[in-house]
Amino acid sequence: MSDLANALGAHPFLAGLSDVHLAEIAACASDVRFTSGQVVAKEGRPADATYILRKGRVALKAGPHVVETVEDDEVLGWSWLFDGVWHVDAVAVGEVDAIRLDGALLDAAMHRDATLGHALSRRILLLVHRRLERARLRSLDVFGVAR
Amino acid sequence: MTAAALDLWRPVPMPVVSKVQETADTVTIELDARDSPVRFAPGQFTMLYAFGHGEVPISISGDPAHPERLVHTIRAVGRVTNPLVAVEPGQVLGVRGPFGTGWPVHDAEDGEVVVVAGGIGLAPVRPVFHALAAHRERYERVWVLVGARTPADLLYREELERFAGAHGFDLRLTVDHADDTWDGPVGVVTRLLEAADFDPSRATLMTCGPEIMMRFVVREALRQGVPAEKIWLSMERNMKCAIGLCGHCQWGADFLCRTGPVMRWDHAMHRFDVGGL
Amino acid sequence: MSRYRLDPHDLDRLLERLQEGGRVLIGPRLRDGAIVLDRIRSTADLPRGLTTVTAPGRQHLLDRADDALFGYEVGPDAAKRWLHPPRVELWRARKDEGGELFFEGTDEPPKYAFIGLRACDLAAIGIQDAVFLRPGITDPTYAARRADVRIVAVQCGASAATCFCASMGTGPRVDRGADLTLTEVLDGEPHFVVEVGSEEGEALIEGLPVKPVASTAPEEAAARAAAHQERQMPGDVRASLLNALESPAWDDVAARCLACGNCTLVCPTCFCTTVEDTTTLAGDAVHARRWDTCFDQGFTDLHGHAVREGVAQRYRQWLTHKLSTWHDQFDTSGCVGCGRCITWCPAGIDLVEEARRIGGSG
Repeated sequence: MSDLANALGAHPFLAGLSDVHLAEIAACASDVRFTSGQVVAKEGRPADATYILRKGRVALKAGPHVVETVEDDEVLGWSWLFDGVWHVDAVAVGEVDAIRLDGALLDAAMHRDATLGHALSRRILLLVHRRLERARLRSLDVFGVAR
Repeated sequence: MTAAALDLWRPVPMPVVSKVQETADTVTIELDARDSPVRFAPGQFTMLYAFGHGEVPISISGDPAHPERLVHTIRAVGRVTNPLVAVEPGQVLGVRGPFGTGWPVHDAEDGEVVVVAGGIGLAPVRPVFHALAAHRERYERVWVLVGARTPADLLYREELERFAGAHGFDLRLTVDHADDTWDGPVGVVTRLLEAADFDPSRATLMTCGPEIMMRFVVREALRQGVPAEKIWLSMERNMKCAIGLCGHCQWGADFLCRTGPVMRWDHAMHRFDVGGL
Repeated sequence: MSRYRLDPHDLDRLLERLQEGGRVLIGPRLRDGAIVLDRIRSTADLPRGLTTVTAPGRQHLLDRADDALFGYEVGPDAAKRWLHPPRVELWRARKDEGGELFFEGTDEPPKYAFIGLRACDLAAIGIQDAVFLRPGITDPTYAARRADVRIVAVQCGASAATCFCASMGTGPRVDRGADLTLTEVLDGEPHFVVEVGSEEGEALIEGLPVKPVASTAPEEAAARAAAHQERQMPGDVRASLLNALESPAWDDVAARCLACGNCTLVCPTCFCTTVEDTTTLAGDAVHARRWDTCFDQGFTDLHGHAVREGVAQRYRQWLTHKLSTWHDQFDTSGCVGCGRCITWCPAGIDLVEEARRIGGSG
């Protein structure tokens, strides 16, 4: 397996996938780095990639407000699967070391290999599920006084 | 009436020796307990009396190795805590206690320790940090995962960073809402738990914070494989007497002032999901 | 147990004996249209020739055709009012000019004697003993009042429509907890049969004009009272209520319950209290406790919101505590079957019926 495929297989998002699937994903992947303050995604612009964070922190922002941060070992971006535009701004906070998965290439690979499509879709749904769970807790504003 | 029996209800006067403003509505005060040292287990609480205003249960936040210094972190949220937060060094408060159960600092030896605290919930676990630091060699990795509403609401921040540096704690902080001063994680505290790389089969987890927060923390801990009997939480209820006589803190058959506030998840779980018990 | 015969006109001798040494005698007397427990000094203070008519939500008094002194069923008061008073000062705090704080105890309570308590009342004292005199937690207020108390019980010869002590195993026969037990016999020549239940009881009647008697009047009275009782607490209530914590049946009783707390006030075992802090004109701070009720929304207030917000949750707390979790805490039920909570419920809610309905005991 290539170094990239090994790196992908070591990431929690993709851990446990078969070597075949990892090779298919690696064919869509490239190493990327962002410097502090660099814009990773811009609301309204075409969303063409998923970023698998290896090291560093990305702030998801709505206007000036940080909605949430995405950190080491987490994943950012799945809009290319749906309407193809980013729904938040994403800005690197410090150095960020990530793997970029090209949305168009991955979409094609998922169509070619339905088992890959199924496996990846499930993992992306799990991300969405976790993010939703956090949003629920957050919406309760549990540290406020006298709710 | 015997003197011993009277002691249950009657406070001991103790002067305030120092006061630190922690956040906008929260202070830490230290009382001089040299005349009647308060030997306590981390997690226990006292009843603090503000002259003319009344008594309220407050967790002990100091170092259990120093029973002569009684330390409390108090948030102004009501009729008695408002005057307590307003005390100044030299003033005298009444103290009863300590009361209740403590965190399992001994049971947690020879394994990893994961402390998950949110908001003022950090105050009742602060003695745990002292206890772990005093016998650091008895524990494997120590995770301190802390959530707060905003950076300005984070308690003990500098001290926690000092502690983490000096005693090798893996400290992670997160806030629900960031401001310009904050470039750390933004998000709920459960997320720190998801990201922490501990061995769930060797870990003891202690969580303290609003009940809803603890509900999500326990769910995440169980999902990661921490056994129910290794998860501990601290339950908060209205308490008027702290000696199991006033009935206010009942939760099922428990008087939380005596069989709580700290209890194991497998003891709490069946009641936790029944609302309004 | 030795039995004696006491003539009604000699009862005052016993009341005098009970008050020796400054003991304060508490017994039934008529006040505000009800028979309450209050300080009495002689038989003249007892409610003579009265009886009670009792039903869910009401109790009223009627004249009897005879001169019975104890010819009624339990009123709203139990010994709790005296042993665990509605309001009691725990201590006073005083600040001197230098800012030093002093905590001072309150005065010693008087010694009490009771007359006219029934089997359910004695059982209730036993339950409050378990609450307030626990190993390691002795409530000084209760302990001081309870110590060295004298109790002259009365054997019930009839039951109110709300009584169910037989099914709780607490009555109607007085078989423990009294120094003396009186059975009032009205047939033929009126007299009391006195049973002695303790050495203190023996001392109380020493020298009084009593004659040994072989009488089965106490057993006959108890049998009559038991035969009147229709209500029966389901035997499986402890478990059945805990299994029904999330039953919608609680909403049904909550729709009728006014959350007034009357049931907890008249209950002879309910012990919950709150504390109140007041300041005297002299500047002393008084720390007092007073009866509280789990039906009050503020009872579980936590930073401005109640844990038991709805009446259904509060009724559930009361009923499950009384009939289920009390066993875990004190190794006994919290209910003695006196029926006061039924009688003094303004909505006439019947806890036996609710326990049966909610617990699904048929």
